[in-house]
Amino acid sequence: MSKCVVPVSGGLDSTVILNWVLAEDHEVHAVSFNYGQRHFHKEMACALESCSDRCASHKTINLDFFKDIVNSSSLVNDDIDVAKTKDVLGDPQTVNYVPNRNMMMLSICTAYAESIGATKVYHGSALVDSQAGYWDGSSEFLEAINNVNSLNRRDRVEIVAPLITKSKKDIIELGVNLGVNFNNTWTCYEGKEQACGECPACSSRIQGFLEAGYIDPVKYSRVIPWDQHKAKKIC
Amino acid sequence: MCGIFGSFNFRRFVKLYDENKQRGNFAMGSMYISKMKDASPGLAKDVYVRKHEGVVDLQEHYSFHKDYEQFLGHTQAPTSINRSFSPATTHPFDSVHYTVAHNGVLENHKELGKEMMPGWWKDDSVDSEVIPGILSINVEFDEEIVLSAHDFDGGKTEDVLTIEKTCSMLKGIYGCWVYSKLTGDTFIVRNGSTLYGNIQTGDFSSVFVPKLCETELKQGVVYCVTSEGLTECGNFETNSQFFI
Repeated sequence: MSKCVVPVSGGLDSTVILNWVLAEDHEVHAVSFNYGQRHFHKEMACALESCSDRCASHKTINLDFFKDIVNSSSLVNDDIDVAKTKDVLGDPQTVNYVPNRNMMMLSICTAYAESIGATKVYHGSALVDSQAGYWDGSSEFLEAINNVNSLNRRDRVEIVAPLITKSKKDIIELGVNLGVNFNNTWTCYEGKEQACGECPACSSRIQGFLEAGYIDPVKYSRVIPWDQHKAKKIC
Repeated sequence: MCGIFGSFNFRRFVKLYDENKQRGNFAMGSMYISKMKDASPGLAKDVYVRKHEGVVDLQEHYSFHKDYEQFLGHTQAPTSINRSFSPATTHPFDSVHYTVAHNGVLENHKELGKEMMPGWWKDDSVDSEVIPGILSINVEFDEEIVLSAHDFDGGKTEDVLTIEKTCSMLKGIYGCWVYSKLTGDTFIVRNGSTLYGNIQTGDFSSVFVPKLCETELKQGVVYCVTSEGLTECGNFETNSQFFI
C-alpha cells in the first residue's frame, strides 16, 4: 500500500479520482482547499463526506487570503457574475478562471507529499478543462510541472492525472463502475441551493451525463431534458 | 478573446472588429480578408488578406476599401503556449480550395492531421490548420461530394456537403467562417463556440453586438452568408462537450 496525496475539491472529477485511487488500495492523504471560492461550502460538504472513514487523513488548507489578491475571477470576486457557457465558449480564458490556481494547489500538495513520504499526487484534471479555457488543466501544464518537480534531487513527487485524456462521459462511466455517489459531488460555480445548469462547469457535467445515458442526481434550477435523451437513473 | 466576424459593409465591419478585439483579454493578432466587387473567387489578387500583430485602427482603411464588397475578420487571443505573432502561423488558414478562420479549441486535430495529411501535419501545427486541409481532401476525394458536382436537381452544393462532412469529423469547440475559393461563397458554422448574426444583413460575430449581431445562431447548422442575409443551407451533428 503506497502513500499518495489526492486533492479533493468535492467536485465530480476529484471524487472519481479519489474512488479510483482508493480502489487501487493506496494509502490516501486527502487535501481540500478553501481559496475563497463562492461555492466552497457546497464543495466542502461533499469532500468531507467522500473522505470520511476512507482516507488515512484529510486536511483542509485555508487559502482564503487569495480573495484579497485576486479580483479578476468570478469564483472569488462576488462583484463579477459567473460567466454562462453560451456567452464565453471559445474564449481561451474566461472570467471564471482563477489565476494560477492549480499551480498553487499542486505545489502545496507536492510539498505535503514530499513531507509524508508520498511519491504521487493524483490530480483530477480532465480533457474538458482545457477546452473550457484552463491552461493549468492541460497536458502541457502537467508535463511542465512534472519537469519542475523532477529537479528535486532526493524526493521526486510525480503529479499524475489519469483523467486528463478522458471526456466527462468517460469519467462518469468510470464513476458509475466505481460506485461513486454523484449526489455527493458539487460542480456548479454559483454555489447556490441548486446547481445553475448554465455555467461551463454545469454544462460539461450535464453533457457528460446525457452522453453516458444517466440522469444526474444533482438538482438544477433549469429543466434538463433527461427524458428526451433517454437517460436512466444510476442504480 | 478569439473572435470571428464579417459584414458586407465596411463601417459595420469596423464596429464588429472593435467589439471583438475588446471583449475578454486581448487580441494578440488580427486579420481580415476583403473581397473585391465582381471578384474571381480563387484569384488571390481579388481577395486581399491583411494580417496584423496586436490590434489595428481600421478607421484608417476606409478609403482603401471602396472597391471591396465583403469583409471577413478574425481577432486572435492565444490558446496555446505559443504566444508570439507570426503571419505564417496565424489566421486565416488556407488550402487550395478554402480559406478558414476559427474560434475555439479542437480536440482531435492531431489525430485527423496525422491520419489524413501524413507527411504534412506536424505535431506543433495549430489546431485550426487542420480544417482547411480536411475541407480540401473531402471536396477532392469524397465520393459523395465529387458525384454531387453533377447533381442538377438543386440539391446541396459541393461546398455545403464538404463543410457538413468536415464538421462531422471535428471534435471540440469551433466557430468558423469558410470562404470557398471554388465559388466565392462564404459559410459560417458553430459547434459550442459563441456565434451571433443578423439574418437580414448577413453580418455575424463571435460576440453579441447590439443592433448589429443579436441573434444567437444555431449549432450544427451551415449558414450561407450573402449580402441578402444568412440562410440555413446544411446541417451536421454537433459533438460539443458542453450542454447549452
